[in-house]
Amino acid sequence: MNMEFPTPLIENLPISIGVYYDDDLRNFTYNETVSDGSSWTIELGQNNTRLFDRLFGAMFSRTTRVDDIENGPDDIQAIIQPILEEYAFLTPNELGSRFYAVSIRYRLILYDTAGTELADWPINAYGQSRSGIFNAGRGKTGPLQNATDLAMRDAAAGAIVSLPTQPEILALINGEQINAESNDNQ
Amino acid sequence: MLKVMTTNRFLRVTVLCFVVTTLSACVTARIEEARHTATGISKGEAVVILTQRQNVDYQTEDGFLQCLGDELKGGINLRGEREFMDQLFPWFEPSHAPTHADALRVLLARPGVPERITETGVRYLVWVDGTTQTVDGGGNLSCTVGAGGAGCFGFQWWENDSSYEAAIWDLKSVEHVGTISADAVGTSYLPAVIVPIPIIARTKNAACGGLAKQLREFLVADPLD
Repeated sequence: MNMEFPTPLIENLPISIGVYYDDDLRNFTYNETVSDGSSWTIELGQNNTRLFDRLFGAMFSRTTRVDDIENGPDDIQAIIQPILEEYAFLTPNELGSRFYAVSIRYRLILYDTAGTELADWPINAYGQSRSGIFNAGRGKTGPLQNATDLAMRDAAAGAIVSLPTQPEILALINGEQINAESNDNQ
Repeated sequence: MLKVMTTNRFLRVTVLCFVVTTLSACVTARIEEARHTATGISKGEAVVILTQRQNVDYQTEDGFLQCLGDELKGGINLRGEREFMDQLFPWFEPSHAPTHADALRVLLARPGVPERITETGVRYLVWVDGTTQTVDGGGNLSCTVGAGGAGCFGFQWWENDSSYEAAIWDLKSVEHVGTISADAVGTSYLPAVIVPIPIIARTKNAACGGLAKQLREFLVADPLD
């Protein structure tokens, strides 16, 4: 699957953020054999990084890729790490309808520059796509790719709507110190 | 001799195909319009047709949207749904799209959104919802294939209901300016004596044509009317 995501139409938040992608996210592959016996392999690694590069690039005034979560560069305020916790899909046969449905659950984890976890936010997303006469059935990836694309767009939309209202993000915007203790008390 | 037989067979097949493709059953269509305020569209202003995509049970068929777009093309400047959604990403994604005029006002207050809409040239959003369903049916038809040939015998019928609604939003006045609904019902028949001859009630086409015609009149109406 090779997907492209549009640039979000948003004002960026005045925060300098480091972005960390672990190997699980960069190489994410999902395998499943569904009830009709067909086997599916979904490779989302590159699409994950493409999605979050596009999302964070528009959302924050400055982003830097970091390779080590415990040693962030001095010119960033915090580090954010997206994790793909769950990917699932249903075929039209399983769903009893004419649609492929995809659900994705990401988790965005916020760290300080020393790697201490400050906050985390789940992002649940959903996408569905109609199976046509010529693009349904075994080996036909079109509708499933489309449903996955819609689910990933939905995830980005969810992050865009929810992140700017999070107390930790507001604290970063205001240049306030966030510490793990205050996060634990919430 | 062989040539004559071939020509006759060709003629028979052609006539049969003509009969099969031109036979259509009766369709009863009802178009209703509710106008809340005056409308009108200027040269350079565009329309985008959007669909509700969150319902797991049904979704307006791509074929219907294609038909609606084709019917509206002449004289009305149409923008593609995906193109519009990409340009305004993520504000028209299914789970975040405005569902009423107040939400549209909030969206239009977001930085960059009015400017981008101006760039697209879109004046009217047309939210289309609805589907075609088979609501009743019956009969029995069986086909057999043997050494001597193949044939079908029997009779089947089914009733289709195509029900669609278009809610029109004006981005200039930021108002829901009206709603048009199209409901077409018809019964299709499939009698078969050796060869099945479908007599199809094209309810979806009727709903599409009626909705497009009414939508065109609605959008281009003289503001002074």
